[in-house]
Amino acid sequence: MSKLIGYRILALIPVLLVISIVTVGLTALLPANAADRIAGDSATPEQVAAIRADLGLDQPWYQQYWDWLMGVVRGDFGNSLIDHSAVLPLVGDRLGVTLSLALVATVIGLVLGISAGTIAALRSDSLLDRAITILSSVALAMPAFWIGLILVAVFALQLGWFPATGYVPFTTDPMGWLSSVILPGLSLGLIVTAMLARHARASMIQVLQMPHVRTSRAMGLPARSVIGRHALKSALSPVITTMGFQFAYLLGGAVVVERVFGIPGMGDLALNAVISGDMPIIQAIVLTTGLCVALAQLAVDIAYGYLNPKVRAL
Amino acid sequence: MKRRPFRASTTTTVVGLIAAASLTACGGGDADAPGQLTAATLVDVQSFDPTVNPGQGQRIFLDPVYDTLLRNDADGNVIAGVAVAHELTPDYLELTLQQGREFSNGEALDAEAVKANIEHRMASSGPAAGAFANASRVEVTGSDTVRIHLDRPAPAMPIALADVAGILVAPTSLDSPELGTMPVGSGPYILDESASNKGVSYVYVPNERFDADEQQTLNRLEIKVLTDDAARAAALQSGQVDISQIARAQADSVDSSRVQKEAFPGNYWMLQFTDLDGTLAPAVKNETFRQAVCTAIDTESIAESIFFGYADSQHQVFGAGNEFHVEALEGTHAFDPDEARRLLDESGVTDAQFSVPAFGPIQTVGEAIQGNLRDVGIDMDITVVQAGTLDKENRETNFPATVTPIKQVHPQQLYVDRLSPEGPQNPFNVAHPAVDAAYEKAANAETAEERASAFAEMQTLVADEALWCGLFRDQSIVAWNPEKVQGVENAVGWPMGPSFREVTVE
Repeated sequence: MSKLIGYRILALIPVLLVISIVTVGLTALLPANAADRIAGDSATPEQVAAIRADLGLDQPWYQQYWDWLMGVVRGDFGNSLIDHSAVLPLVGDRLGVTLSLALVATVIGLVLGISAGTIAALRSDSLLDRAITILSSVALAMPAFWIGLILVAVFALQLGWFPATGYVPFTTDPMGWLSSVILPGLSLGLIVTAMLARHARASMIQVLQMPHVRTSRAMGLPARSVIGRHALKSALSPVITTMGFQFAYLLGGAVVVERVFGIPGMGDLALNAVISGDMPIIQAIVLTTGLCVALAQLAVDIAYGYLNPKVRAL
Repeated sequence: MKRRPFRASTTTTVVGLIAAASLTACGGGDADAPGQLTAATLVDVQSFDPTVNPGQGQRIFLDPVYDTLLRNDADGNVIAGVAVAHELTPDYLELTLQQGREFSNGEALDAEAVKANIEHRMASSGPAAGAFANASRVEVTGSDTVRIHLDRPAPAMPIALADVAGILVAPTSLDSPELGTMPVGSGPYILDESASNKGVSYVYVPNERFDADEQQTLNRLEIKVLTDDAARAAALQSGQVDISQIARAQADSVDSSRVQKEAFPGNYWMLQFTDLDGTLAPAVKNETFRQAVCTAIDTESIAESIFFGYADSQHQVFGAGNEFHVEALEGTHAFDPDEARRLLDESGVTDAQFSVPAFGPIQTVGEAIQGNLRDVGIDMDITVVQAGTLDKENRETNFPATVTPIKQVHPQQLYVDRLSPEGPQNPFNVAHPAVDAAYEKAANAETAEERASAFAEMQTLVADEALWCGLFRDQSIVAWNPEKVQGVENAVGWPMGPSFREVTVE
């Protein structure tokens, strides 16, 4: 297992390199660039050219990329082309917020989704099973931002239980943090809950038919032990795979939910950077997001190892 | 059986945590503290460096920390700023400065500092540089006087000095690479960098070297960036912020019994024809065709439907009450579809089509215009361009026309940017000899009356030849808690919110 983890971590390096090259290529296709942003709409061509030269945008793309890459190797992700603020602390702060939100949504999705799916499978074809299936279909059909707007209207504006907007860092005030992430976490997590509930239900129904589960039941093991120690563990493998894919969705979905709740995550930063053609920020966001997704996949592999001894032996 | 108490306690803990978290929210926020104002706006500051900041809407972030040489009153008139008096002639603009002023870092705000700022702005390539296009050099003529010498007359220079062109930065910070995030000015407040979070919120505290108490009324000012319209409205209604810009679509949903709403004049919109030689769209060369286009646009209906009534149909750039308003132009090209059809027939144009670039709200306005034009037999194609590229498209020759809100607030700026053959927003470099002559007459006028008359002639030529179709002036809506916030005044041309100078908080 440790070999697998080591190999996966080493494999990240070429993956991130390819991601950075693709990002440079795609960004070069964008018609927007920082010089045009700074110049505004009443600049002369000479003024735009002067700004391009100031920012180094008149250099060939491979030269710009090489300069950036050498900076990254030294731990310097550069500065924003627009206001010259250092990119790494900026992206780091925002990434922490987005990950925090994604983590809360993941916990909500795992706890509610697996519970609902398991209950539905155990009561297969019952009224409760159908209700869970219908509710998960409804949740899947609702966009996260719409759920967010409803939650704000009810729990923030009407009841005043939670703040309508804003984010409090965990290190500043843990209770304030919890208060600020519950509604956005629910907005984002309900869709994951629905997805996982459906997968957990299907997987659990299949596992409950398996010989080792039937044998356990026949041997008179208590239902809690059969479900918790044998069936659930086997049923979780496809659910964990789904969760791995869902994590990438959560990072993307967080962009929209962050706006609705005025949360300072990666969303607005990424949007502004793309509109401004602020290349150092775009590169840092894509790289760190790619790294997070890759690490989430690694976590899925480790979880597989826990759930499946065959994988652990690799 | 042994696990039941554990499960019960886990559930109790989770519920308890959530309840405690909700109580945290009920405790209120910073917006309740006396002397402290929390505001929300929709766009982040581009940079605190005035050479790379476009000004106008962005001034909400810059105004607390920076003074300008001149200012605008609530009606848009130029009034004293750091310069208590100014004299404009065709050859120079002389500024008489306040005495005894200092920047927040202790540097003297004197004639030398003003000279350094203007020279720095002149040498830059950013949006403010255009204000000094007619300036040749800057001279300190006395301990409190600075003279900007002009190559050509610059009647718009005073009004430009009320925006980013006139912002004063401490001279030692002018070339600092950190100026974009660490402003050093002479305004009533300084940016508290340790409490601010880029793109999230900017916290300002009083500048101890600022002595005009009536402008320094707050103990703490926080401007939050909330890009989502619904989030800003929710933050205002829940008391998280005291004052906020509200999207027009959200205006009716904000509870009027709890907040005060005011609509302030915003940007002027026009459909400008740029391909006047007909290179891309031959029809655009035809003056009668252009008149048909202008006459076919139902600006009142667009103001009502697209802007929810928060816009005023206005067929010339300068509205009633402005010194450059031309009464005789009222009603020119007023909406009349039958007249538009007649003009189209009269034009003899067989291929009645042209295209415009669009994105975001401009696309919505464009689609409304497109419908009006289709009704009279004119095809206006809309090409959706990528975000962040509209400014660029308006400077280039890819489209024969453009629908755009404009930044120009003086006829000279209109001429220099949009009508002059070298104007950046005259990308096909089309010459208008009669307009040029009228402008020269205005620029060299000896008196204000002569100048206004010549600019009226210039605007009349533009309207007669339908070089652009004047559409409407939009409004920006600012809402605040009236029990807490007083003294909110319109800041002309600041669509993202008012100036916080003289705003008081109870």
